[in-house]
Amino acid sequence: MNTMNIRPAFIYKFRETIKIIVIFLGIMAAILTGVIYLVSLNLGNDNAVSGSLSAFMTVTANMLFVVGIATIREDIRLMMQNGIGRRTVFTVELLLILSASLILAVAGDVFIAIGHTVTADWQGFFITDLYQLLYANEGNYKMSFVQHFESIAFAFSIYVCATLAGILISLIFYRLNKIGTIVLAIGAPLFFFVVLPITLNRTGVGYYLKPLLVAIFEFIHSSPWAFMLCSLLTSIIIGIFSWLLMRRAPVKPAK
Amino acid sequence: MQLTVRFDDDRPIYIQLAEMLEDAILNGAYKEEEQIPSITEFSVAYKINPATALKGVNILVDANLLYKKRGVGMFVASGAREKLVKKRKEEFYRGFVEPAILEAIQLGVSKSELIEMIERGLREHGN
Amino acid sequence: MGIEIKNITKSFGNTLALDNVNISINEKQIYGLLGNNGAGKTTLLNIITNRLYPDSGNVLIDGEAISDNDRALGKVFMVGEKNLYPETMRVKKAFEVTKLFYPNFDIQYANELARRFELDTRKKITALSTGYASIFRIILALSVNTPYLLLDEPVLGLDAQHRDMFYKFLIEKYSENPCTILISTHLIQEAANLINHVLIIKNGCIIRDMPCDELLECGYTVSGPAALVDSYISGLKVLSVNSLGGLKTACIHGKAEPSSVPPELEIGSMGLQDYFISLMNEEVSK
Repeated sequence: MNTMNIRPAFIYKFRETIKIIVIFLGIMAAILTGVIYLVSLNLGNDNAVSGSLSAFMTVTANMLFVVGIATIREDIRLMMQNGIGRRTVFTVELLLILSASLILAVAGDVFIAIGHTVTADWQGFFITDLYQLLYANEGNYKMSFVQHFESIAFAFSIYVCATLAGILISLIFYRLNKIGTIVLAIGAPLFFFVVLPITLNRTGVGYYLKPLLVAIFEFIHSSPWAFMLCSLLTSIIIGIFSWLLMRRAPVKPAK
Repeated sequence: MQLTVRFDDDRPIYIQLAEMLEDAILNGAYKEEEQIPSITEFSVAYKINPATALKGVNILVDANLLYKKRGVGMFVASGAREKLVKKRKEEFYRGFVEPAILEAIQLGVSKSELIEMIERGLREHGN
Repeated sequence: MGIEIKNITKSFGNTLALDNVNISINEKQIYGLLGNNGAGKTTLLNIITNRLYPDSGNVLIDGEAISDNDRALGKVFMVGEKNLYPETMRVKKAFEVTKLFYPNFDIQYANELARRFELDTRKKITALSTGYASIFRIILALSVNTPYLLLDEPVLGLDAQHRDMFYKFLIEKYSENPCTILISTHLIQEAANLINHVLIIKNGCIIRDMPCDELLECGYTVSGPAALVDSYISGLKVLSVNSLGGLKTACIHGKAEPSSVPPELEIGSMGLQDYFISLMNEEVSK
């Protein structure tokens, strides 16, 4: 598309994203170092320490979700002010989501690898992450090369999905009017935490629906690739809806 | 030329600008063969559209009171002052003297009375 | 070449904001979009810059449709009544970002203007007062050097001194680097001397679209003793009348014929603001 001016948009978003990534990884590295150090201080006492550090993926996914919510409207506004159309904005967002997710996935794996190396002989304390918790049940959660690769791919798919989810939610509320916003803000949690459980467990429809849902979840859980497939599909669906919400969205100042 | 001026509503601005330029040439503020401010400077100073300033300036250019030097700017033409004095004198005649004479004829003022009045005026106002 | 606005209609709920608007902006002039608050000026400008989509009609910039077209959109820079930059961004950074998107953005000039206006570029945009937020936007507009520049109420909140500075910088820039400028404002008198071409919008319709000189020749004023004025204007299309005691001034549509005007009455030309006000009042009195 020769009418798209991607370069400045990409450079701008890239610089902003790198800042976030660097700060985030810095904090994660500090936490990792801090925990290892504190644990190492106590190891001498009959291996009294037991536990694990395993939150990197979840924390990162969380962070990306919030970043997705927080930055999409800002990006649309800034870029529209500077002569960049919505299609270019969306394209650049996708490019950055893919890049950032890859960087963070690899970084997370590197952290795990370093953690494993440092704590190789420690008993009772494990450095691990979501992938291992779900799919690798060996004694000390050490991973083979293939598993590292799977872990990175797994993290990547989660991160892409999380960021897109944040973007979608932000755009949904952006396009809704006041009434719609209230309805959704109350209705969505109500649906997931009240209506859905009741339907699945107490109604006739639920009797047939529930095994189906359970089967789906089991499939997803069965292997990392099943999970990644599901993530991919979800990402694509979320992406399509996000674009549909964005393509004719009015651009108004923040207040 | 006045730097802070409010243009009247009753005549187009470019005409008022042209008149101000003529006054400046007449009273010596702009001397012959000297450069005058650019269109940009005029339009900024009076906060008018450059096209309007250009229109006003061009009135004088067309009357050969100003000329443009390519790449340099606008200059007052030689003899501009004389031309203007002549023009203003003619305007003076048409605007003041002629009506006075017509009025005098109406009132029946004789030629010698008229001349006497002129001399009196010159005495009273010390020329 | 130019901006073609064709058959633009836009409603917000039950309110018709723009009604079949057709405008051609195609010369390096200063256009004035004049109208009262709520007339549709901002809506129109937002549609021209693709910030809003019209219900019907389309906009072409240099012959190209604008939707998702960065090449076309990159030729226009618009500053509105509010900022679209992140509030936490500092002015200095905003200049750099704008330069990234608009390579012709003159950062040195922008910094020079900031100095002249006494705007501290280290400040965050959100920390600027209303006036200085306007100054920030003005500086962006004066430095960006795009072929088309749209200014929506650029002097809102500015004190007299800063307004004066703005007009002078604008004229200077326009004189040295002619481009196509559209200023939308409800401060008619201040804009009157700047504008080449007038677009008057009322209730979403363009009711006048002509060069300023031509517009002002459409009418004239007579002033003098009230009774005389009254007898003169009877039968004529009167745009407005103002009286103070025994004196009256009437604004009349058409060209003055000095021979038919009694010598006690003074003929004058019509000011843009007076003409504008009379146009707005026309419909109200009907």
